[in-house]
Amino acid sequence: MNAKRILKCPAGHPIAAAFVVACLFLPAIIRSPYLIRVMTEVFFFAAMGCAWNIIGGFGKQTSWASASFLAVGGYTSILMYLRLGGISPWITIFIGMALSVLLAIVIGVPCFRFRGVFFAIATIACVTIVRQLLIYFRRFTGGTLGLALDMRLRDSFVDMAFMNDEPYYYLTLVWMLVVVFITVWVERSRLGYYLKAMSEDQDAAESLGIRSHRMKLKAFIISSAVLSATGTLYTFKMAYTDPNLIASFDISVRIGITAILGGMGTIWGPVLGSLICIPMLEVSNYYLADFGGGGAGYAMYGLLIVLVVLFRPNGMISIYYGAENWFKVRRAAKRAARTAGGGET
Amino acid sequence: MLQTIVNGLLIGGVYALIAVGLSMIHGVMKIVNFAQGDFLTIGMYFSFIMYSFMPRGSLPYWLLVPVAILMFLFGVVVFRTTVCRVIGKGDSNYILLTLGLSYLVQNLLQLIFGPNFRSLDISNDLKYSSIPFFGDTLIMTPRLVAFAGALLFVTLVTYFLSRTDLGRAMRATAENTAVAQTLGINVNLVFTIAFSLGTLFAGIAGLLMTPMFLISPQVGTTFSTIAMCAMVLGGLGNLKGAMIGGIILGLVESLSSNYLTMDIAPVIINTVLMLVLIFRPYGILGKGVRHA
Repeated sequence: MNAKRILKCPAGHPIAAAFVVACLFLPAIIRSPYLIRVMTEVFFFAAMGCAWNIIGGFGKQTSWASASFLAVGGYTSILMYLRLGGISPWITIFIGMALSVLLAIVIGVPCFRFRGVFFAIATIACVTIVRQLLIYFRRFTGGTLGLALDMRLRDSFVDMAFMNDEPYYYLTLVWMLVVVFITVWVERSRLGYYLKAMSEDQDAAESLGIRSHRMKLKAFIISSAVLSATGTLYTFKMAYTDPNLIASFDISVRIGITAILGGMGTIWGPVLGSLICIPMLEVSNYYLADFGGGGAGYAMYGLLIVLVVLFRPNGMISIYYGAENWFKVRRAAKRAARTAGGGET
Repeated sequence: MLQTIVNGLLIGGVYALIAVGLSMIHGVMKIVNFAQGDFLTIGMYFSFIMYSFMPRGSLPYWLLVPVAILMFLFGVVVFRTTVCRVIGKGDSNYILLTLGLSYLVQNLLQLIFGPNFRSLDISNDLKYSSIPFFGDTLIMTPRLVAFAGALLFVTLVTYFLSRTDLGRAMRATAENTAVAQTLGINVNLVFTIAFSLGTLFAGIAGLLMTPMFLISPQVGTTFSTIAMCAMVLGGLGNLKGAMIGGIILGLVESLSSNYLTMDIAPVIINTVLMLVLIFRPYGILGKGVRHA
């Protein structure tokens, strides 16, 4: 793609470009470790949301197994690091991805044969199985106590261990951009168009010769591989992992909500969703932690999702698109009025 | 062994009740309610609140009628405000909506009641009372009552569906909504009642479980999964199948947590679900119709 085409495609929107540039210089301008940590979290959830978007947004197949792929990636890397004498996560990231793809095939092949809710139910089953297995094999995986990496005091790119938060910040930012470009690539590829056609009308798409189950499986595999890699990064950033942090159904739901809130099936929607969700959660954790029995932030999450599904099914980003459209229409009307006026005189 | 089977069978009855509610909702309006387990939690908390107003040591089962009425009204409100807007708008809409509801309910409950486990303040006589059954085997009374209650409600709904006009209207709507509507059935009313009955079943299951299970905001998630498994096991929208599925899952859970560990029971249940999805996606009874 040359520069012009990138600018033309929805990922190259001027606002998005401005956001990326702002993120690049943020640590240099505002020297707040807290802000940097929050933004790292934002990038992580944006990346996960984008990955979910490939199957959930483009493919319209609601997957709740995201956490399982995160866990497969994260646990593969951390276990190989701890138990096999420090194999670099940059290598094991690919092993995790391969395992995640296998898992995706196991879930996807039976479920994509049927339409409707089977896939969603199967993914919930999968996320429960993975989480419980991680708890059950506690001698190997640390059970609910999790596994910790004792390496925050070393600066080593090979071990993905840094002393400061900035390297993680940039690493995550770059990874988020990579994931965004993967979604752009998927959207503009043949697969993306097939998925779009299938989500409009699956029967029509099939009658035109699209093998829908295969396309859904492809999208699911891409999504799972990306999530798995994100899981590895997340685990090494936290230097810790446990089933509740990375493998629970809750995390899957949060990933899905991030993408849905921002805008399913759009490139920058999940990023916007993450920019809304994570700071909201931080603020509510800070101010509302002692309000009632806790959980106010998550209750807001739930309320937001209900409201978005009911009133803004295309997500928050649709507000922007609506405004843009409104300006366009108004400008066109003005121009038309001017030319009409010019014609009279 | 026999003890484990009896326990599993009895708890399976309650699972069956939740699954029947879920299956009924799916049968009539083709929606899977992912918040079913959390409606059960609400039923538990309703029982908890109302029981605190009753004299000490009284039977919690007197709350059956008030909890049923409250849950029915709750179902009407939830359906009218949210769920009715996503019917027939594609799968992902209702999946997202009901999961959002589930998330909202869980965290609102935590906001109100806190994350701690609670239990009804019932006397130990009732809690641990049991009836000798066969040799050393004991039947725990609360479990027996729960099973009987579940059976009663399932029988009632079967009667309702086959003998009353509204029930027939419901079955007609389940068969074909458009045709039912042209024949003058008030589809909206039927949907509301079906959804609220499903909610009611979840709430009643919650009440029946309170003497045996601790109450906490997150307790519903497990039951959601189990109910969904039971429903798929029996075939979507098939009430009899959901009933059998629930009982089977009760047995599976009881056996696996007795002979293996508690942690592995959900794995076994979900593996059963995956196997059913792979080999018999229309349920073990195999009479499910492909709606697509």
